[in-house]
Order: sequence, then C-alpha cells, then structure tokens
Amino acid sequence: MKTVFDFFLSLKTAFGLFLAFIVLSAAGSLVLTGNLAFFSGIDDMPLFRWLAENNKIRHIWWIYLMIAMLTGLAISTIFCTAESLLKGFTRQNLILRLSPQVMHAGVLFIMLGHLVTASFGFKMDLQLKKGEQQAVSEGKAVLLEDVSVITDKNGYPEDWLVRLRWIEDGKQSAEYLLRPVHPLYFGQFGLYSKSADAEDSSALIRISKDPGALWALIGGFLLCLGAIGFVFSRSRRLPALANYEGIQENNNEEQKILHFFQ
Amino acid sequence: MCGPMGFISAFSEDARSLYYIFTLLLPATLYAMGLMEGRKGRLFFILGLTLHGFTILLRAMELGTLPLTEKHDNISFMALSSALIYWFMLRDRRSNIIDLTALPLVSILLCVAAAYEPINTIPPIQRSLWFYLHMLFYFVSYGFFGVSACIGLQHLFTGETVHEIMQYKVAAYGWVAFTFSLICGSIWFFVAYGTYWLWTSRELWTALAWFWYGLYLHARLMKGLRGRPAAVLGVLGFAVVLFTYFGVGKIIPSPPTQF
Repeated sequence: MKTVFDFFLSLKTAFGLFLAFIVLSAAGSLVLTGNLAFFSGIDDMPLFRWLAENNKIRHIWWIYLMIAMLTGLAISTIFCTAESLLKGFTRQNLILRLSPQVMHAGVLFIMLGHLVTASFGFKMDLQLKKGEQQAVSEGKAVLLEDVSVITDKNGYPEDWLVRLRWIEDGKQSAEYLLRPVHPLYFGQFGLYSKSADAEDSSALIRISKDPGALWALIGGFLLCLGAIGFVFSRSRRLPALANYEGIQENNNEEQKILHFFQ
Repeated sequence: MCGPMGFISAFSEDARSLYYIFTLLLPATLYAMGLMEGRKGRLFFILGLTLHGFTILLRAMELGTLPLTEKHDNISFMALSSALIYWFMLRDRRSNIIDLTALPLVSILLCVAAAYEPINTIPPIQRSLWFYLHMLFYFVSYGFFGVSACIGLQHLFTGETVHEIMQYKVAAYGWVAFTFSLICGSIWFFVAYGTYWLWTSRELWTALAWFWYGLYLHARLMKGLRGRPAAVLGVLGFAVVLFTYFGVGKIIPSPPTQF
C-alpha cells in the first residue's frame, strides 16, 4: 500500500503523466488528421456515447489512454494535495502553500466536469426554417418564428436575431429572441444560435444539456483563484519559495531580481 | 468619417495594404535599432514602442473595439506584449543582456504580422467580452512565454543561474495568463455554442501547450532536471505555443465541424 502511495506522491510520477499526456495529445492530433471523416461527428454527441458507437480501437486508442493518464494525474493530484494539507500551514506560508492546492482542486473539478459531460450530456443541432417545428426530446420542441440578419455596409453579418418558441407538453412559450453569444435556457436545455440565413429564413440552433458545465466552471474559478495566489505568493515571498521548493540557488540572487516582480 | 479613420479609409485598397505594412515595419525597424548600445538603443526602443502602441490604438479606433480578432492584429499585439514585458525588465540592469534575443523576437513578430492582410469585419460570434478577455490573456501569455524563452536562451549560452530563475518566473506569469485565457475562452465558447471543449487539433495542441508549461514548472522542482534541462524545456515551450498558433490548422487540420 505504501508503495502505491509513494508512487502517486512522487513528482516523477506527475512528470511522467504530464509527459504521457503531451505525447498522447500530439499523437491524437495526428490520428485525427489522418481520419477526418471518422472523427467528424465526435463533437455532435457526448464523448462516451460517441466512443461506444465508433469503437474502432485503431483510431480511438489515444482517447482511452488520455482518459487513463488524466485519471492517474487526478489520483496523483489528490494525494499531493492531501499530503500538503496534512502538513499544515502557518500564517506566513498560507497563500504560498495553499495556492497550488487550490489550482489542483480546480483541475480536478474541470476533469470532473468533462467526465460528467462526456457521460450524461446531450447535444443536438436543429436546422429550422421559418414556421418549422422540430422535436428536441420527449414532449419538447422548438418552433422557429422568424429570422433576421443585420449586415454591415459590405454585406457581412454583424448580428442576427432568431425569434422562436419553446414547446413543452404541447404548451407554447412566449416568443423569445435568440442571438449569437446570447443563449436561452429552458430548464436543463440550452439553446445556442450557430448561424442564420436571411435568404431562406433558416437558422442552425444547437440544443445542449451539459450537467458537467457547472463543475467545470467551479474548477475554472478555483484554477484562476489559485493562479492569483500563485502569482501573489511568488512575488512577495521569493526567498521562502526558494526554500519551499528546495531550490538551491543563492537567495541573494533571487532578492536582486525581486523588484522586477514587485 | 473624419480624423485618422477617414484618412485610412480614403486610401485605395493597395495604398491601404501598404499603409498597414508600413505601420508595422517602422516600429519593427526601431525595435531592431534598439540593439544599439547605451541610451541611443533605449531611445530607439522607446520610439518603436510608442509608435507600435499608437498603431494598435488606431486599429482599435478603426474596428471600434479591441483589435484582437485576426492574425494581423493578434501577432502585432503579441509583439507589443513581448515589448512591454521586456521594457518592464529593463528596470533591472541585469536583464539588459536579453536585448540580443528579445528585440529581434519583437521585430520578427511585427514583420510576420505585416505579412497578414488586416480584416475589418468581426463575426457576431466574437462580439463577446469573454472572447476579448480570452484573446487578451492569450497574447499576453504569448508575450511572457516569448520573453521567457529569450531569457532561457541566454541561460543556455551563459549558464548564469539568475537567468534560469528569471526564465522560470516569467514563464510562470505566462502560464497564469494562459490559464486565465483558457478559462475565459471556455466560457466564451460555452456561451456561443453550448460546449467548452472540441475534439480538434487546435484544442488538443492548446491543452498540450498548457501541460507543457505545467511540465516545465514541475521539472524545475526535480533535482535532475533543474537548470539546463528545465531551461531547454522552457525554450521548447515557446516553440510549442508558436506551432499551436501558426502550424496547427495548416499542417495538422481538424475534422470538419459546424463551428
């Protein structure tokens, strides 16, 4: 058991997992490039469903390995954070010691978000014409009322407005206005305007349900918070940092460059 | 239209192209002249920085927003970030030695920016505060990574420990900015398309770049990798981010999506 703990606590393990993730990302991008048609639908449904439906191991091996590496990294992060927290803090080193752990927690939440999205998410694209109605899921549908596109003097779209109604159990909602980067939410479903065409009065609408997004957002917030602490602690406490990280360089050298960071 | 914008729009297409090229090549030349020794060099650098800043301000006025939506402006902004970080470091006389690498980097970036035709239309999907925050942090982080790589190169040539420490610190700031950028970018993409991750080469390489700098920052804590090996990792990190921006998409295309 101790060997397992030591393995995941080791910086060498974290380094190895980082390296493996990097190699897999590069390899994955090459596999993607070599099989563009195969991967064309990967973003149209939750990852685990897509993997189950497209189970060609010679194309998707790197995704499984990536998930394995990230799992290893998550375990390593939990162990390192737990060890650091158990060591305790003083008022002097609170931010210095805590900020990397907050960042670690952020990474874990983001991983959790991705996992939940990949397992339980829902994605669907609706290409609707004016007056057309399409079902989203049981008892739910979208009715497109109208589309208008605002163009600049050169004819490029500056904005577009999609007027629609959300239908649930046969009841129509009031008319809503959907614009790019201004989504609408109906319960757990989010509606996003991907494109609109004024000529044939049509719009492409992405419907998604992303139960992992909130976890990922919390993770992002923690990551940013930890990063701010990281910057703050390192700009204020360089000599302490040198000791904490086991950096052997002369502290005087660090002091001389301190003013650059303050 | 009046003022500088009226002046720019009054040009013919060819003259406008020349104007955009000239407004970047002139500060690029001044930055390169910053390599001159002593006060003269500093004066040229400050002149280049001022002119460069003014050029970006004019682009902002022309677009009516932050000029961070296409390659011409993005690379120019990356160069400005690098130049400002370098300028900030000039306060420390010990960093003067990075002139030899940092100033050519800024000049080259501006020449690359000049090679791209500016685009004056902003797609509606990019009209979001989250998008601008994403781009701002993204190119600020590139500036940090660039200067960090310059200091790292210096360390590899001189072997001075102080440069290695500075490389680490500057890269750490860059990594923090890069993290902010990715979070803002994810929020923007979620608000625009209902997802915060895509399985494309660009996303994979962006994650790779983030992990690469994570690797570098962790490598510096390991006994066997501290010093020269870590410095090499840091310098290579900048090559990775440059490849992510310039190479991915062209050399490594992504699957066709509706995004």
